[in-house]
Amino acid sequence: MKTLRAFWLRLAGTIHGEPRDNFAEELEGHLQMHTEDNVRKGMSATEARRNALMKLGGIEQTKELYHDRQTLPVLEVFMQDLRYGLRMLRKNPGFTAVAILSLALGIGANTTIFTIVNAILLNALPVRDLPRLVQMDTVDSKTVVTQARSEKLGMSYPNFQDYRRDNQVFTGLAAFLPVTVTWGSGAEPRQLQGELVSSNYFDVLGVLPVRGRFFMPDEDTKPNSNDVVVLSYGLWANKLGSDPGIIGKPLIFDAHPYTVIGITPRGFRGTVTFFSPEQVWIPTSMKDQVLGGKAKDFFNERRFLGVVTFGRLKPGLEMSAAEASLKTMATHLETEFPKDNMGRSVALSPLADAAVGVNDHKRIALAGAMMMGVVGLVLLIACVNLANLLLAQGARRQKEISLRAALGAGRTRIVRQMLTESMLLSLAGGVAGLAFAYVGRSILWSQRPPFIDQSGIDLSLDAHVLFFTLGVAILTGFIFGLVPAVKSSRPDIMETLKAGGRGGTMGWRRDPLRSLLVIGEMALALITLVGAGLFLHSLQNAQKTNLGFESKNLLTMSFDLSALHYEEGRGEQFYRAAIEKVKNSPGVASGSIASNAPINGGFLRTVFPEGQDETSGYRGTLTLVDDITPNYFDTLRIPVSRGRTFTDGDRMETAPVVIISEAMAKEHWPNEDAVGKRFHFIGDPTLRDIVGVVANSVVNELGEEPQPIVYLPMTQDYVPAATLHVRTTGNPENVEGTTRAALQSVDANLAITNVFTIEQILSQALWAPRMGGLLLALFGALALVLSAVGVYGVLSYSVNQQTREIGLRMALGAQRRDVMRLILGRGLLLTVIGLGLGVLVALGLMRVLVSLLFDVRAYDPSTYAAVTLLLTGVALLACYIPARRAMRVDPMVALRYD
Amino acid sequence: MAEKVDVWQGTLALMILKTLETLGPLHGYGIARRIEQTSGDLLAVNYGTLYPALLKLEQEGYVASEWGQSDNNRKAKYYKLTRAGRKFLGREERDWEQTTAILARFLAPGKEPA
Repeated sequence: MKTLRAFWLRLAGTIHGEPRDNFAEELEGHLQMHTEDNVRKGMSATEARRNALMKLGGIEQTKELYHDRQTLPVLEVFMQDLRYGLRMLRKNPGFTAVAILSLALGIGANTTIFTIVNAILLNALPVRDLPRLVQMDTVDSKTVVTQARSEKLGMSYPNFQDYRRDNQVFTGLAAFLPVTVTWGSGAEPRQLQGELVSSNYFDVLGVLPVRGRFFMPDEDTKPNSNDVVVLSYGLWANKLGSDPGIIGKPLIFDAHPYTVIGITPRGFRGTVTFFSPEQVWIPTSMKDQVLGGKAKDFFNERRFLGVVTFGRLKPGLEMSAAEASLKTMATHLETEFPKDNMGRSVALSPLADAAVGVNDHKRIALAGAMMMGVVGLVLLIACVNLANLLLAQGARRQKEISLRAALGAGRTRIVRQMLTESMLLSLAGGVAGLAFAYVGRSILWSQRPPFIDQSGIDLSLDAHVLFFTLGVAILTGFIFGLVPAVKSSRPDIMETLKAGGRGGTMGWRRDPLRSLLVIGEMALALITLVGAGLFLHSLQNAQKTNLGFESKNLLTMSFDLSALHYEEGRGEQFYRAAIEKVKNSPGVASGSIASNAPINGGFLRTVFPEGQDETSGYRGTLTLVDDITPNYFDTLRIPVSRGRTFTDGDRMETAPVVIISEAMAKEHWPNEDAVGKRFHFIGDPTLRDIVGVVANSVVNELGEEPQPIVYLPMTQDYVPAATLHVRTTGNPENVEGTTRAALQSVDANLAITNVFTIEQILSQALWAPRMGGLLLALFGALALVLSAVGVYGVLSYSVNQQTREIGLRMALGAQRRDVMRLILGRGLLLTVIGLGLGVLVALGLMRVLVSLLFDVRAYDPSTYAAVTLLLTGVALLACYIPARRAMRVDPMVALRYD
Repeated sequence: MAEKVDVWQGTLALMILKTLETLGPLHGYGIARRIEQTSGDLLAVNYGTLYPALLKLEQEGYVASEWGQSDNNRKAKYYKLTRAGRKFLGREERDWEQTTAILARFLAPGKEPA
């Protein structure tokens, strides 16, 4: 406490500069009293004064001691350095501007990317002790999975119940299942995101309600009872006006009243990063009310992986040990229920990773790391440039530094002074970089696709981002400031004297540091540009992808009939009526209904071709299924390669038929005609006739391998949640209103969601790669410009330094051509070494990144060649300008220069 | 070297506070003389070191100062003990006595119980 008080007083003393006169007066009083005493003792006046001074120990010395105590000497030296540094930077406005601008671009790029990484990857879930939470997924070693990134598959509800009851590793194991519910009815029904959860969901997460309560332990046990709901803070605040009396009130979801029992803390939106901040949680006991279609029918089947589970590890237990114990349980469950569990075990992943998608985390983290790596490289190039500029400046300031050293400044003092200057630059660059990042973020934000709006991803420059920027700025200052500072604090006096302070020959061998900088810069630029090139190439490929369906004039909208509690017959009737109405509205060519929305994946089922079943040791192939109405292929313009499409004649009572994609035909009947073949789904012995084969189309994401797809007639496999596809004759946006009205004229209580044109869907699907490509191109261009400037700077500095040598050579008979060749040769030699080094590193790095590329090899020769050529050209240009200046050196002037 | 200075400064602070406790408000010169008288020639080297020590005590809130008139009508800065200073002095005195007692036993090994 006392020390702190003293510290503040001293700090104030440093800043205000306490008047020293006060103390001078006090000292003078002291001396006079002492002198008078001395005189009284019999000394002469002069002697008395001298004796008093001697005893005091000198006026100035005492004042100095007093001053040191009055202020903070360290801070005072720092303030001196600061003032001096500011003066130096003001004296070189050109240098300062270039330095701050290049740092601002470099740091701004880093901050912008970090803002995204922070929002998506580092945005820790607001739960208690997150590192102890793990997600538990099924892994299936027997079933053939044709889709990429589907190694972890969720959990079946019956298996979950067994694990929950019998496991030895969790203090709690919870399950949830994302659902959509329709809120309200009549004029403005709307869909909300929600989760069906086990009653211990919030307990396991360690989240407490800000209002009301969460679920009681037995609230998920009795089917169709406990119609209670927990609301997210976002929903309560945004849509219910933060109604303080909300607890106990009923809200209508899917035409059923639920009692509100609690509100989650602000910012909580479950365990999934991309979920909406406006959500509801309902106990699993209400599943029959909330779910529809197969999710409802299969929910209690042990084979059906319908829920996601996560648990809290017991204290002190490692994830690997827990996994081993659970795997043992899995083998027991396998023996107990071989039909459902054969080949299935479990795997754990940290819940923090699973939050962005348990199978996507690696790729997203890799993409984040790559973007951070690229902007890091750009900043490194900027640092190298600045180090180089500072070295040149240090050479020019040799005299000043020698003078300071001569006046008694120690080396550390000089290094500190120089570092203060680079810190000033980097902090100014950091502040300007924040401004750049703010603009960059706003541009990214303005380009966001609609789904980001719903997900509530928060791209704000929060405290993490500010700290990151500060850290980067300080680190940057050290990186580019330290070497020049140390180097110029050690002036080679002899050399300086001999060369008269101008430097005579500064050949490459004599100045390896600067040569290294050029080499490093070229290598960094090459790596950045190769990365950017590969990704742009990959983006181009992705954009050229054949979707497999006509991508113009298509409008889609989704709805869920289970919210209206339609039974199957009424649902089918609705579909027929809706298509009829829509087809007859103006501007519509045709309409069709399918369970899957475009490029949005779908339900997977296990397929067994005829003649094979569980007993044969083969565990089937997980295949995407899509339930469609007859005119689907017509509407989507998907070509039929063999056989026929569905007709109104395919009904419940007629033979079960299916149509498959070419990829599926190739998977199971590679060299045969698939039409006429049959297969069945697991748990359903009905053999289905393949009556047609259609062209492949994109179902999950652009750039995917052609997917096996099973199309089923809606009449034989009813699904209540579906998407209407409308082929329009003109701009699809024009028929949106009439199509909506047509749907709602069949049932006014229908909530319609996800109204998109195919262009919107595509731009959403391509948003991330396009943004990534755009950013990489920008950063690549930045790296190119920065490194060109750097090479130019080094060479022109070196030409300046070598003016005398060049003059001498020319006086001795060297031709201008020779001089040109000399300079260009040196520049190019360094460039080639740098590029070679860069290629080697890039080859290693890109191999890691290849999983992010679409249809581009990591060593794609054309990209490497183009980048190498580009950089060589730019380096040549950067060398040419100083080389030409060297060529024009007038030997007489150069030799007389000093 | 540095440790010696620390010890000296700690002791000096204690001597200043004790002086102020005994004699009441006093100017720097008076404190210096008093310490010199009681401690022999310890302080004879340098009166000047007293002032930073006084400043430190003032910054820490153990003493307060104000300008006043000296006996022979000179303007002088008078220091006096604050309440915090008085408490601090009591604490320091106890500590000091304890330390010296321990040291005394240490330096007189003959009397140490075997």
